[in-house]
Amino acid sequence: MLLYKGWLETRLRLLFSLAFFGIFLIQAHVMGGIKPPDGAKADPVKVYAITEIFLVATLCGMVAGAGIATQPAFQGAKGLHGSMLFTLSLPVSRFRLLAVRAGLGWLEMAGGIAAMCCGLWILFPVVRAATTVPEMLEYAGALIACGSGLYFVSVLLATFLDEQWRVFGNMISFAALWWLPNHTPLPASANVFRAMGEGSPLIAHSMPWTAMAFSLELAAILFFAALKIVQLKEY
Amino acid sequence: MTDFIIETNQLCKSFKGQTALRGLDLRVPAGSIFGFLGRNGAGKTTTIKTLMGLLRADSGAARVFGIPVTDADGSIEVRRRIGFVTEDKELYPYMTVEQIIRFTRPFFPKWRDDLEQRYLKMFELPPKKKIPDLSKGMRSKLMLLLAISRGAELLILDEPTDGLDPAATEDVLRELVAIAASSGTTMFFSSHQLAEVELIADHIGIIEQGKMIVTGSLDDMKAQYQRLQVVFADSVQTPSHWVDGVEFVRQEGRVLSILASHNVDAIVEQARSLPGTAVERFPVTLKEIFLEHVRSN
Amino acid sequence: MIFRLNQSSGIPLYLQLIEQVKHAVETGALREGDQLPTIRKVAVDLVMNPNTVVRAYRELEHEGVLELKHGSGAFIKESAGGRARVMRKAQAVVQSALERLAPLGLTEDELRRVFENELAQARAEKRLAPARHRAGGSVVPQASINGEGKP
Repeated sequence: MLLYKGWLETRLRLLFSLAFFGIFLIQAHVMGGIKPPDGAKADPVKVYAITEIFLVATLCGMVAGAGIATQPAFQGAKGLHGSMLFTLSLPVSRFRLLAVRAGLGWLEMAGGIAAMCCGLWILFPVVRAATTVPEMLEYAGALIACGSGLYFVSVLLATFLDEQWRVFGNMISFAALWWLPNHTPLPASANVFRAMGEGSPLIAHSMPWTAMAFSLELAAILFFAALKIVQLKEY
Repeated sequence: MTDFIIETNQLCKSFKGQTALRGLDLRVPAGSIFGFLGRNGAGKTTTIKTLMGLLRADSGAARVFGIPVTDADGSIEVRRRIGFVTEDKELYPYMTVEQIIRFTRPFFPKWRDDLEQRYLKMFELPPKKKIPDLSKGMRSKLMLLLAISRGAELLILDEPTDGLDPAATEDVLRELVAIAASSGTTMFFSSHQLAEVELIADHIGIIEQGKMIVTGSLDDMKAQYQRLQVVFADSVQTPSHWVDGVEFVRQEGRVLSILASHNVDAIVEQARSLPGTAVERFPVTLKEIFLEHVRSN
Repeated sequence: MIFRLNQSSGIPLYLQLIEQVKHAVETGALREGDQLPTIRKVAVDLVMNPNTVVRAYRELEHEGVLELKHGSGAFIKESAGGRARVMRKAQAVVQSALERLAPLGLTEDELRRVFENELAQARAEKRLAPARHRAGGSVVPQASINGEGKP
């Protein structure tokens, strides 16, 4: 029943995200693309589309995760109001509530990315860019993996930050994720943003495995942490 | 000792420096209809949220069905047996009436389809209408439907008739009474409508500044509380020390108005002993008891 | 059976209900053997707490006005008619008193005040018969009355 509720709640948002992607594809066609970085394989249109899309994907990852908290947070503070009161008065643990919402949100993110890749694959020929199915699948996989880390950052922040602070929290976290791989022992290729943009299979010659692994590990850890936090607030 | 379906002991709760509850003691007998009264900001909603496990108290204990509210698994079991109506009557803005009923039903194994149908019809709730398009009164009725159809043993209602017109209020009160009569469901509700409370409650509790200042059987209270009007022929002379039972005394011109909680005969005697007085007794309404108690605090 | 209660009058509802049942018996609206509506029906019709109705019915049973036949309901007791006769006598006395007061030209309110004052005086001087119902646990119930209660 919680899945049903979650779906009703987020389907409109999903629709908008997909529409957003569509707009960028059209833009790509109209603008004719960007010069790709040296040594890269793709053509201008692809590059353009990708750089835009990775930006949007990042934002959407943020929004989707923050979307978990379009209803006031799972905190047990006076910030508790609205329909959240009704939800928490139901005989269901906060643990399960978060698990279902976060899980559903992730599925929607993955689904959205997959749908967008289908769109790209269909439209690229129209703008005279070439791509293959395996390449697209790689791309989709990379995006989903890299996006997961970002998504669960938002999820975790939602469990303890008030609504107004969440956007800042997200911005700071994402900035940290961009900065960290370049300045710490972490491999430079763990930069998930780059992996979704220039490093992606559409431009570079291989899958950004490091970034994907990093992101997925991060996702798992953060999801677990979020669930733990919510469990502590349980009564 | 009677069974208390809700029991709190010295419950304390503060928010960011403001104290909402300071040592609240509450006892709701099983099978009763308990009216929870208090001014705005006195702590009614905080108490209710604490009982529902939505807030964690700073100190003190609270038990529902004998299960402490801090017990995580127990709390889920408790919520399965409670019907709840929130103060702001907010529900999901992306659902219709039909959808939210369909969503809520599976959580409660004791769901009563007959009651659901009955109230859909009685409250005239349009199944396909989106919740934000409903008036506040309709949302109140929808929440009541969701709370009552659960087949709950305890109903916790925060201002249940808020936003309802007199006819709808009458319908709701009648339904609550009918349910109490047929299934012995306990009801704990907060309300500003003293007349309503006076009608259907058999126990009341008045909360002021986070503390329970008066509580007990309503009938007993109304039988024992009396207002005495002492009219002085010349000037008012108050005794240095009133006998036990005098709660509040007010002077208006040559008249002393006394609210007495018990021991009325002795008070009357003491009043008659004062020079040049005539003493009259009047029964007291719940409104008077309430106003006198909260005004003086 | 139409009962009407006033929750703002300050008089406990169960007492009001008791008085109304007794009044119905005295005026003959309820006769010996008549069945009263069920507790549930009264509670729902008047929108009042069922426990309050129970209390009123039990009190009436205790005073001998009605008897609760387990399973079938509440019935006006045979002997309740006795009190009605006493009340009718009292009514005749008051009627003649009003006739004698007529020449004084008092308004209704003035008449009522005169009566209330005398009543208060009589109460203070303990000349009135004690109340026959239990209030909040502080009054000792009288021995069972079968309609001819004496002070």
